[in-house]
Amino acid sequence: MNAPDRQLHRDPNVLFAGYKLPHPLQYKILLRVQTTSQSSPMQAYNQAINDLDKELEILKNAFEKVITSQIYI
Amino acid sequence: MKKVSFMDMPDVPKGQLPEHLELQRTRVFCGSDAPTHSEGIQYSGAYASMGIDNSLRLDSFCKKFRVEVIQLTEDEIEFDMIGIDASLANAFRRILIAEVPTMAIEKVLMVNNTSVIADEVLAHRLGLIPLDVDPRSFEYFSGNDSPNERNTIVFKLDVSCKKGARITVKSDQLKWLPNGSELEMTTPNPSAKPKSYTLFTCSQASLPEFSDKPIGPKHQDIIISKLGPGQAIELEVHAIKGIGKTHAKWSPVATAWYRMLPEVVLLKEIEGKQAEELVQKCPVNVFQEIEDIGKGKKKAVVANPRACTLCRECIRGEGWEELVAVRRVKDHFIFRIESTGALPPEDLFTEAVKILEDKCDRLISELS
Repeated sequence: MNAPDRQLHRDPNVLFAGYKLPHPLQYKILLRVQTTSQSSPMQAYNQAINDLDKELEILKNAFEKVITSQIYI
Repeated sequence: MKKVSFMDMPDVPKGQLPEHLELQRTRVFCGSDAPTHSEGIQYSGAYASMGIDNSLRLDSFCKKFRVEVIQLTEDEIEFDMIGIDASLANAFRRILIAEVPTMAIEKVLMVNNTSVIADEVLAHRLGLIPLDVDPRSFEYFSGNDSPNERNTIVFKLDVSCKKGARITVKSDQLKWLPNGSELEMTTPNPSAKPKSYTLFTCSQASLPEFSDKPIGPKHQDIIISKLGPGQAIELEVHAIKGIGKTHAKWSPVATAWYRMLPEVVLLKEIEGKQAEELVQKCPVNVFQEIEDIGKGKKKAVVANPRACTLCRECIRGEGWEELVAVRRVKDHFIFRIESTGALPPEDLFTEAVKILEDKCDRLISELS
């Protein structure tokens, strides 16, 4: 949950982003996003998740590349 | 005197943060009393008043991100990830511990147990034995479906101790049953055909994944129990796929952890007696004395900052904090994964990334 939150903070159109866990034993998270008029919370959130997804893809590829080069030295 | 904005002062670099702010943004300062500037600055407008954009986008991530493998063995990996945020590093750590699946013994069918170890304790011990099998070739077992060759692995343990002897039962005595359970369910109707506990349609040994590599425990010398004269254990175990969140026996890692790269900087030249004292102070030998040829004196240098445990012994005592700075680099993570053996450690990490990606994809599809 920290990861999407951080991703939202990086967006210049996001004015506020935060999450809370009302009860630690309930699997329920409340997320609050406030944006400027150039964006909408839904749009910002979608973009944050998409960016995170792409970031992970790059990270995975970079890691695999290093690992294969390690194994076949 | 003419007023000058501080941004136009000659010692402030153009278009960049002043040096001290840049340090506060990228480093954790480990002072003698407490660490400061430990929070990551993520907010895009954090430095907006100075005309500096702190927003981060995908392309800048691509440019900065780097992986370096430090050590890779059969069941351990240590690597550096440079250019990621703590939230992401922690997500990987938590997924590795609790959400990457493995196979572990879940059901124990006890036929006979006359050993000193109680049934439930024995079952628990069996559950914790790491199995050398790739969980990706199996499916999850859910309550409704019957145990078959795609979701269950069956082992049997049948040992007894002769009179006048004592034996130690080790994990290599678990025998894999590729054809499924050999036990029969008791039915109230004696004329009915007895049913087996599993419904294997074919032998697991004939499946291509296992034909050249039989399934068994990862380590052959794990002590399960000890038997005295005349004692015996006869049982059958069923292993299924699961995740560490349900029970720690499914956790694929002995441990997975990260730390930020330590950075040790000498703020002033440290020479002579003081240099010697500094080298002595550090318990992990971060510093080294070298001969300064120009002056003919010995001087201290930082030789091995990576070994620093941040014990802060070097900045203890009067005046030392002005000479040595101990910091951590906020976006440089030293990651260490120790596998329990089901999967090689490098595969564990890629699995963890895949799980996080899956979560993202699920969120995207559920939002739209």
